[in-house]
Amino acid sequence: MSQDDDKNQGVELGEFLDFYLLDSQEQIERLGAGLLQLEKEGGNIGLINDLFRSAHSLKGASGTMGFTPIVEITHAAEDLLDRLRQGKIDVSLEMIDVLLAVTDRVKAMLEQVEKRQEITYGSEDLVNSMKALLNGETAPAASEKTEQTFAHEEEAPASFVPLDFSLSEQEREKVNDAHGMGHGVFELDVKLAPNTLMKAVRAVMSIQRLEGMGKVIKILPSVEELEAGQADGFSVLFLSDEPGEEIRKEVLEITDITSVAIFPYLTPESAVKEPNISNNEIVPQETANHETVKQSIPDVPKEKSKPAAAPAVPEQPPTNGESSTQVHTIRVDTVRMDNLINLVGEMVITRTRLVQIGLDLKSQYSTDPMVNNLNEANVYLGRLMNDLQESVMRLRMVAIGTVFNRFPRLVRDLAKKTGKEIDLVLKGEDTELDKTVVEVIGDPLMHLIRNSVDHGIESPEERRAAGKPVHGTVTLDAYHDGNHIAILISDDGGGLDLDKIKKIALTKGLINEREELSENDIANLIFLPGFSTADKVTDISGRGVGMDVVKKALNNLGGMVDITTRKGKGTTFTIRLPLTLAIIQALLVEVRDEIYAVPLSSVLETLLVNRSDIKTVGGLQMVQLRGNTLPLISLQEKFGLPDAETLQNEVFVVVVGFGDKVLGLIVDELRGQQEVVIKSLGDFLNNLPGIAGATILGDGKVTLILDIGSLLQDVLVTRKI
Amino acid sequence: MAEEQLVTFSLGSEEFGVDIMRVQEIIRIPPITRVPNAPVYVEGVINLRGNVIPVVSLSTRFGMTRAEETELSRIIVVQVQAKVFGIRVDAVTEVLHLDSDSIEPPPPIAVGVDSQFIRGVGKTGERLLILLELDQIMGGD
Repeated sequence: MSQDDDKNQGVELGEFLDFYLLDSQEQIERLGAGLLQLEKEGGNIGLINDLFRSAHSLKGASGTMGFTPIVEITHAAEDLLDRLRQGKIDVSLEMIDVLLAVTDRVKAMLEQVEKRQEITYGSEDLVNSMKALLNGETAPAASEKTEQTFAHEEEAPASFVPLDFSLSEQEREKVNDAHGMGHGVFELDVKLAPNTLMKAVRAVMSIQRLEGMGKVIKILPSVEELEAGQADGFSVLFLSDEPGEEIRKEVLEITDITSVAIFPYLTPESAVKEPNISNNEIVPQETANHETVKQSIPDVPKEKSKPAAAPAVPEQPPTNGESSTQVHTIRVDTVRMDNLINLVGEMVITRTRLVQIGLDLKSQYSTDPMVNNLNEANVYLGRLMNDLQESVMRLRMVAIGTVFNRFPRLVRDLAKKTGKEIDLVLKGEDTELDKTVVEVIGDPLMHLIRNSVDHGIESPEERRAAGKPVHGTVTLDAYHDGNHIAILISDDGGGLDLDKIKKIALTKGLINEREELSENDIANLIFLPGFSTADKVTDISGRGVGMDVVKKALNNLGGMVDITTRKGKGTTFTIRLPLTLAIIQALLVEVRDEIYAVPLSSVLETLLVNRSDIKTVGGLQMVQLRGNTLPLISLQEKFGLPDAETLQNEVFVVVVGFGDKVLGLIVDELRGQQEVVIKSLGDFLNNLPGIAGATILGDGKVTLILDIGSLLQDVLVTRKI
Repeated sequence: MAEEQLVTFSLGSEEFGVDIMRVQEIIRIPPITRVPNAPVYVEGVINLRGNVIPVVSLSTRFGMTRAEETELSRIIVVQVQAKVFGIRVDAVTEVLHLDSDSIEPPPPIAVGVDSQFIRGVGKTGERLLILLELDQIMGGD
């Protein structure tokens, strides 16, 4: 940390900074997403309220931390949104642009904060443009003003027991009067963060805010008691005509207040006199996100520039401003999670060893009952391990929506840049997959989306000429498919120009004239390194370095990508990825004296094939399987192993594949199925063709895991050996 | 006077030294798993207490003839820029202190070893030590 920091960073730093960053990054994401929704749907008052609140709490938090530049910029944004909220100005495209620019700027600032640098970005330009928008305000459009109502049917739960505020005679009268006149009487139970300093100040702040909405009758414990005591919250008796939800939100905005519950308050007398008070808009609620237990992330070097990864809690779509369901979540440092996975991994390895020992003992002392006992215990341990493993794995599952959510903005900006009109449709955002996959899938997806926008969707004129809707559509879809997740990126653009692709592949010597290629094969040629069909190099989709990089990145994850394209109709990229990258079931195979692990999720079947049935076509070995041709790869050749001294008449073939892409691996022996923990081969060896990683078997030896994706892609793409 | 502490080892007829600060541990040779399509000097990977680390054959890397594995053969596990790998040597000889003064820059024609892997040559008594530049051993060409 440099000394300059002190200038920018006022009071409490250190661990608070991490809270602040997490929270602010979440707010800014929410703001960004909300703005895009606003652009699409126009002035939805609930949405604008949400946006305002995000900007407001961002400003508040930044102020507490002393990050003045962020305060300035968010303050101006808050003003603008406030005016919007009051219906004094209308939503304009220009305004959304400026506000989006604000989110970008704040993100950049937060990144500097995260790196413990001084904030060097200015805010003046944006503040000025926002002020300009403010001043150009239009006359209040009365019709736009929709009254916001929070009509809930639920009643206060039976468990609620009104707090005894021990009211004085005078106070009781006020409450009864209020009941009599149909005013709302509420009990607010406010909880403070455990280590809140100056609790009394929070109470005073709450009272001030409440006074703006009604009348505070009594607070328990009293402000004086709060100042001295250890209480972690307080209760307020409060008269108001505002809906309970509004009151609750108002109080929640005060920093360090973790939750506010609000109940209609009935004094014993009023309950008798007025049993049917209709305060049915009040629901005891605690907002999920405020209640979230937050654990600080220690000062480990963070992956840079990944603010989007912060919200581990599924983003709740900003609907009409009501927080509906209660989600009990706990934020856990990823380092701890990884540690847990590693430990489970080690246990899996050790259990495999135990099983081996049990079997060895059994073959030696088959009659000894103790050996049987051991083996029974092993079986039971195995079941427990499976359950444990599954539970731990589930912990790591994250909805793919966290990745998808950053693309609407990307598509919007790209569409503007290219002068195209494009809708991005997101589907299956709830599909869950392993955190490690989610972290790395972003870049390849971004590349494919850029490609669809830049090359896929035609210009509006072309679309009109082709009799298509002027608006192009890019669809992003995700769903589970067996042990894999499938992600589809499709556009309704012009489709790939297959003739052109073939011509280029020929001139570049990637294929030869005689080869018979299906349309699909030709389309897949674009994944070859150095292939580019774009007539002009644009700053959006780069210079033909893209597709092979995408393919490689996906192969590294044990996945693969495929294209289908129809001229004039569009193109679809299908990505298939394994659900998890940590512990998998594997089939062990032996080739010469080496053992390799094949992920069981991609094994379709195993065959015993006569050597004479294997034919070589165009340098590629094939065998007929139930009327279809199955391409074969000999692992012995692929991995440069010596020929066997004596050729067996029959060989084992492990059929692997995803979807309709299948391939047979020729191996010497099958060695059974086992659970393996995937380990990285490290930085030095991470890009070897055909190898996805390594694992340690029960005997302590390292075994390599085959990369089925890249082996398949080899066969799909390179028709020559 | 500045001095360096080195772990010295033999490889063929030469004696080498590596900075002791880079050495994480010295182990006997466990089963090594060959990695297909890896650079030739990567002998394979080993299991180091649950971590998979690559092992480099220095004799292959230096184009020397490879000695048979003996009782004395060892793997020196080193750490270079947070990356851990093993180097396989014929025998570990000793740990010694060497004055910085007695280290000379690598001779233009090094002793049968590509000069990019050499940081210098140290003299101690009658012995000549080739000081390794570990950064270049993995990766590079």
